[in-house]
Amino acid sequence: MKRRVVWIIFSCLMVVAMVLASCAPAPVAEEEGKTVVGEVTEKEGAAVEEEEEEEVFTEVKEGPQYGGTLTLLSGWAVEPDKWDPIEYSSAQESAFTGYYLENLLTGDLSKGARGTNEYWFNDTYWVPDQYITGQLAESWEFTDPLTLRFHLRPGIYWPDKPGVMSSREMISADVVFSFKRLIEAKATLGTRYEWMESVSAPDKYTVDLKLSKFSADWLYRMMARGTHIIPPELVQAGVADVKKQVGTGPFMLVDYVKGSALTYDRNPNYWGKTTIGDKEYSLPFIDRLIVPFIAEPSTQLAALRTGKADILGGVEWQFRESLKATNPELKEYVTLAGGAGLVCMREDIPPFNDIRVRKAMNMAVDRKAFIDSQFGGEAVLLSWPFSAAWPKDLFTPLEDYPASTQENFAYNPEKAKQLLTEAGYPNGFKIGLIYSSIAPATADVCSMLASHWADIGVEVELKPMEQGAFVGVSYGKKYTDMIYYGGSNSSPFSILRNAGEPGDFYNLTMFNYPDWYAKFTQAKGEREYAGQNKLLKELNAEVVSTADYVICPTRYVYRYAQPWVNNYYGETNSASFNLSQVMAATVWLDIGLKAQK
Amino acid sequence: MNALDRQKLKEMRNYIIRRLLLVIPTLLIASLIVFFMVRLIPGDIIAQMLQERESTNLEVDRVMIERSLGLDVPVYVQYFRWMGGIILHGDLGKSLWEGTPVAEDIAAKLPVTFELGLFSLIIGLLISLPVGIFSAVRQDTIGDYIARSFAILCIAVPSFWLGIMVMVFPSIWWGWSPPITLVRFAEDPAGNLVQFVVPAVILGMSLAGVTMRMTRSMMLEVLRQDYVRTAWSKGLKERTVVVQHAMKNALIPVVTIIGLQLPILVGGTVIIEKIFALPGIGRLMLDAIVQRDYTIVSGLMLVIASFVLLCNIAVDLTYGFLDPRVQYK
Repeated sequence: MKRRVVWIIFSCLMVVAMVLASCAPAPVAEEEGKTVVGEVTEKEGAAVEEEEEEEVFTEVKEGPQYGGTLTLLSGWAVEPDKWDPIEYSSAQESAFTGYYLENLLTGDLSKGARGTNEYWFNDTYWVPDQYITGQLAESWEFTDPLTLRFHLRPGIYWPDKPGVMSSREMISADVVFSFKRLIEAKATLGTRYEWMESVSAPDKYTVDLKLSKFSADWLYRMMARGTHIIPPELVQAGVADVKKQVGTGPFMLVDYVKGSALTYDRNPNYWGKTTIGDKEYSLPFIDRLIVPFIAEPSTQLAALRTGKADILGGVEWQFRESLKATNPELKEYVTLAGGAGLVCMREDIPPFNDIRVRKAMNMAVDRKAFIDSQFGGEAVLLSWPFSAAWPKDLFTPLEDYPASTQENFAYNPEKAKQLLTEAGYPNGFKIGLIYSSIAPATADVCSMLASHWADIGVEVELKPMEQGAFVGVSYGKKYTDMIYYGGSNSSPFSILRNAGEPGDFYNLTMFNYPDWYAKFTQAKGEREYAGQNKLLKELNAEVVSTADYVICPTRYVYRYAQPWVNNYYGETNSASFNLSQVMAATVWLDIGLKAQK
Repeated sequence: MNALDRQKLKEMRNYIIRRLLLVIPTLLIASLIVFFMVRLIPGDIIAQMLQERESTNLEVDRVMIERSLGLDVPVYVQYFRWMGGIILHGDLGKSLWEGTPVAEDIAAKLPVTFELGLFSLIIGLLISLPVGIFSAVRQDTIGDYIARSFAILCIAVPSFWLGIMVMVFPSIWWGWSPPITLVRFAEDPAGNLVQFVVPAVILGMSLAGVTMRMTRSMMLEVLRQDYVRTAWSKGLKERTVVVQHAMKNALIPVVTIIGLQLPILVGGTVIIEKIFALPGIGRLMLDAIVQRDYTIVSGLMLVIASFVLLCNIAVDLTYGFLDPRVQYK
């Protein structure tokens, strides 16, 4: 009997201990949330310097140092599928090959935080045309309406790669070879490069690219997937073989453990240089770059906390306070997340064929409550289709829209009910909301939206789907429900095509306005930058004004660097998914400081 | 070796041959189920590829992709091509996304899962068997209560929760986290073992709970048998009674439990692999299903099914070792 009592008491103590261990700590009293309307202001680009409570590290040595290993966690968990540029299955592949392969063009980082601070280079896909500079090409011009001439930079060399090639100069024949593969690769790239017709080399450092038709976003496409320049020797040796990879870039791929990490070593003959202070330095500074693939956020954060990761991107707001508390020495950089959550309402069938219903669905959403609960009180109200971080000749802040559009973003359930009544739905209606279950946060967002719509009498049935099934439903276009998906920013033309071109994969609202499409076609053929952007700005505003989408606010994400990481200004990329120039080639490490960790 | 032993050996050999022959139709049925069922899942790989492509003409690109992947023929033709490749060339096909041989992908990642699974099983057994036996021999003592509580804890606490706790708190309290890239055994055996110890202990504990309880339960039953009472009354030492007389009989159902845990060697570790950044086949399978990479899913399932069948045969064979009454006729 006594033993039984002891056993019962002991078991109860164990259960209590487990319950206590599972309880989350008491929430920190929250400050009133900040909501940034329309345009990104104080969070642009610059590092937020953390005050150090105690002197943990010695002073950073003056001037850049060569050497060291940089471990870079981008925040993505994707791995490369293909190594041949013409076979990339997604844009992210460029992120891995961009460390050793280069394009003709790239973003000009001197226009960012490390120079004139005109653009913050925090868009994953796109760099505005005016901030693009030559990489393998020194300059370019149109010699006739359909012929683009590139003048290559002399003195760039392919490194020695045993079994593939001996070191030699990169010349126009390499560019011709690479572009010909693009033009002929219909089986893998399909219609993507149908605007290129032929390519030739008048001399050793000149390339002529003949276009079948002018495409105003050619600069973006010249830096997008598939456009890396590769040597014929690589293709002969086996371009799909990871062990054969070679490029003119700052690094050389030396190891790939599938599912674990990519390792790159410094290219000792890299042509690139940078100026710090008044002195010019050869790039890269670091000896080795390691890019691990870690999907689990806790693991990513643990690596950052313990110094195993030197840079970590894609950190969500929920972890910010905790990181500040445990690692105040970290440098923090703010990024606007790409795109926005979108609720797509089919405008070709009832009930959403009536703009009053679409406006009502927008007005019913309490965006302030949304931002407070989903994003910790900090977000941008409107950042889609065009990003709020884009130049003002493209992006229209919400306060510059007509009142009839601005009211869609104001919480007004009474007016929403009135509009529903006018449209013939005095008692609301029932509709489904399809979303992919791949991201856990999506369920919270959709539940919240459903609760807002319930307040105006719209009963929403949540329909989560596995990702593959969700893609199939989106592609098939046979749904009658609403669809929620994460719209990205991509390039202006790509995103407008996704939003508004009839038949496009991502045109989930069946957006179909002939006048709009005619203007879009006109913009695609517009050669002058100013004229192009004027049309694009109008097209973007028109998409927002149709209220085909409930555009959710866009959150901030955070990037962190260890205190020993130098010459890094928080940029995300310098071209489409090209992290090389930014995150690795220009960074230098204070090796002594790192060794103290 | 006497005639009886030779007879037993011959029976066992025939038994093994019969079981191995039965594996073939079982695998054939399994291949049919896996091959066709994965294609019944809503959403196909082509839609996903088109989504990534920024295609300007969906229909044209769809046709091109279908043709390039060999998906433009009827499903049964695809099946016969796939089975033909396996039977004639030992070729499990190529990944639809990567174009690399499926066998290569599996070979690259299977050792990691196998190592993790094997460590987990060994650690699980090292914990569960001694503790289960001790708990039975010292029934209703404080040691028994502690052991039983520990077993309940192992069953109740999810391994993924424990894994995340182990990842988060040591990094905050002590500035420690496990390695974030794979330490290859060939390059650094000690480092490799150290990397696998923590996840293996976590997984091992989750396996140990059930085994521990079963071991205790079976030992208690066996210890009450007449022959064990006879052994005690003969004055034999406790170790002799427990190990030589009781344990073998008690372990027969326990071996069944262990046999049911063997499949984790080839695929039951996906969450732990994700938390500890170990590139195993659990993650490969998950990604392949999400991406609808049919050949990887089919190939991997076939490999796993083969392994499970072989494990079942091995477990059945151990019964004969543990219980001489078992005959392979």
